[in-house]
Order: sequence, then C-alpha cells, then structure tokens
Amino acid sequence: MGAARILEITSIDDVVSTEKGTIGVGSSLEPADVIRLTTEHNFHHVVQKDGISFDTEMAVARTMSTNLNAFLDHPLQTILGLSDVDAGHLPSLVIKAAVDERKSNTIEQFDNYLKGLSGVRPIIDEAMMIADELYTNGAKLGFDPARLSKGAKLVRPGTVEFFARTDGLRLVLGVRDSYGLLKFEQVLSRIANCFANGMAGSIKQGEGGAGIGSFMVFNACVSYYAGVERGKRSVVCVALPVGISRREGNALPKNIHLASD
Amino acid sequence: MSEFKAHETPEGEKLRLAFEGTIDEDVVFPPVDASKFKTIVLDLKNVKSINSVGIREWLNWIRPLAEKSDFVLENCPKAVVFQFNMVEGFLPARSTVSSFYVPFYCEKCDKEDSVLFNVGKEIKAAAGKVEIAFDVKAAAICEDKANAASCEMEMDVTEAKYFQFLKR
Repeated sequence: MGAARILEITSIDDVVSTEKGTIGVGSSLEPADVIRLTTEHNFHHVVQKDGISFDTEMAVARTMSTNLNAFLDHPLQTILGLSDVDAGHLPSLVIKAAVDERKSNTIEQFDNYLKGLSGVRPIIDEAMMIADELYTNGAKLGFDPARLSKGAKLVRPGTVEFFARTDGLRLVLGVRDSYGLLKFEQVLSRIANCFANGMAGSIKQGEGGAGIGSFMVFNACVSYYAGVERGKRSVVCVALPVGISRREGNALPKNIHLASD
Repeated sequence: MSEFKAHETPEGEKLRLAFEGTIDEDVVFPPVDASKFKTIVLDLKNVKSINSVGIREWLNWIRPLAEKSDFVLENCPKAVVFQFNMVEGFLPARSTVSSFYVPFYCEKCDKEDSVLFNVGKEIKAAAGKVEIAFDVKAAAICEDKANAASCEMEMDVTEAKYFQFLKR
C-alpha cells in the first residue's frame, strides 16, 4: 500500500467524500462530527491537532493505513509509538482467555492493574466500563444468540485477548478477538444513532446492549482504534488521558482510526 | 466485578431497596408488586458499575414500576448519575433524587474522593437553576491528612453536564 492521503478539515460542511483510508486532520471537531466524517465522507482516520498526542496519532494513522498487520500484531506499541525495548519498561497487562471463560476474571485483573498506576484516578470508572464493553463485544461473537447472557450457547469457540499499557500520558486498553467479524458500518451507525436519537431512543428490545455500548466507549475515550483482518481477528482499542482531571479529559477532542484488509 | 444483590425492606406504604454490585447482563432485579407501595426508595450507594446491557435491564425493570409508584433515589454513585444525564427515562418522570456523589480530584496528590451531595443542602435546584452550597476547603476532604494543607481538591465534573438531571 502507498502513503495515505491527508486532508485538512476546516469545516465539516465543506468536506467532500474521500477515498478509503484518507486521514482527516482537524481541530476541535465535535464527537458527532468525527463520526459523520467516517460514515458520510469515508474517512478512516480523523486526527485532531488540539487532541492528545497529535504526532503519535498521525503516526498511528499512517501505520494503520499502510501496514495493518503492525497494528493487529502490536496494537499497544503502535498506538503508544514505542520500540520493543521501551514497551518492555512500561506497566502492562495481557490476558488471553477462551470466550466462554468468566469475564469477571479479566475485569478483576484489570481493576488490580489500575490500582497500581498513578494518574488514573479520574478515569478508573470509564476504563472499567470500557474494558467490560470491549470484552463483552469480543466474547459475544462466540455465542448464539450473539450476546453474553445466561443460557447463551457457545457455537464458535475462540479467544479474547485483553491488554492495557500506559506511558504516563495515555492509558491504552483493548481487545483482540479471534473472529474478525467486526463491521465498521454497523458500529459507526450505532454510535451515530445514539448521537442523533439519544441512548434510550437507540435501545431496541432483544438486541443485547442494543449498540449503546459502542457509543459509551466512544463517548468516554479520547481516541478509538479498530482494525480487522476479516474472518481471522479484530482489534479494538481506546486511549484515555492520564494525569489530568476528568474535566480536562472530557474537553479533549476525539480521534478515530479504522483499518481493514 | 461483584455480583448484584438487592436488599428489600418494606416500611408500610414505602419499600426500601438497597442495591449493590454490578448491573450488567447477569442482573436480576427483584420483582416488586408496585400496587402495594406508594413510594419505592432506591439506595444505590453500593452499585459499582453499570454496562450497556445493564442499562437496558434497568429501563425494562423501572419503567412499568414508575407508572404506579413514586421513586426516590438516594446515595447515587457517579456511574449512575452519568446515566441520569445520558439515558432518557433512566431517571423516571415520577422520581426524585435525594442525594448523589460528586467526584473531587487533586492533580497535585493524585487523590480522588467522592462527596455526598444532599439535594436541598449541599446543592439546591429550583426553577431550572442549580446552586452549589459546598465549600471544599472548609470540608477538608483530602484523606491524606499530612498533605491536606497543600491539597487542591477540585470538583472534577463539568457542572453543566453532571448536574443537568437536576434541572428537569
């Protein structure tokens, strides 16, 4: 693949549709507009100049556009912009589990991991919620009906790998599943629907979390990353700000990165 | 994660329900005969978290009950307050919030604490306006007494968003 095209976004209303993989660069774009850029204008990356770690985020966009496997193999290092040596020095957590193992085992280990970090107090609730949603979304793919509920039957054995690492500025957490069934259009339309109609309006009976989980995850993070190798694996990660208050973190504009084979 | 539990205490026409644990896909809310109780008081102090499936389960449980009984929600943790503001109907129309937690954070000592705001005392809401009557300095909420003098605890929420539910 060649170098990714970069487009400066000055106003959402002036944007025209782009070719797949284009990196949009803007400032102070609203979360709903970030999603609109992906759903209506085909952007797969939106990076904000006044967002968190702009240079690293641009590097992530380039890597995901040109070398998807680098992201799928090493999402934490790709997102945090780390060498193997640097990565080894940072506190990290990796838990691989079969999809029918208890979610609480992983969530409890993540809770303990967070307790050992500094600067994460304001984001602990959000991080725990995101871990729960990402893990549930990955694991439910093995079940019929496709949700983790009492009595759901395991029909597609597989694995969910949960991971987290912080560089002191960002906490990155994510999940890799062994299915590769993630559909960006579906996830993005659910998030867009929540922005348009509210969460309650988006809830439909009998559809698990009814897609509001994806909205909750996007709403809580400062950067959202998703990559898919179809039929083989999906990786979904987010970044949360470390060392600043919740109020400051909530004011940061959001980035998004999507890539598939 | 902790298993969801509900503790019921009938008090005449009032039913007190104390919830604890995680509200998720495994939650089983207690069946309540709303015709027996004029008011249902929910104590949510020990609710640890709520996920997207839990939100749907909550709505399915509370909607029909709230058509017959008045709800009073007390000791609401921030995970629940977030839902008040984000999910229409999470806080039913015939309900009031008597108290809820507000997070405070000090960047200097990386400490967070939650303070219980009683509606009408630490915070007042009337005619679509919210007035905070809480002095963080005077309250000296920092747990680290050795560093309390230099601690700069601040309310760690965007007030316009976090207190939105009080304006309805």
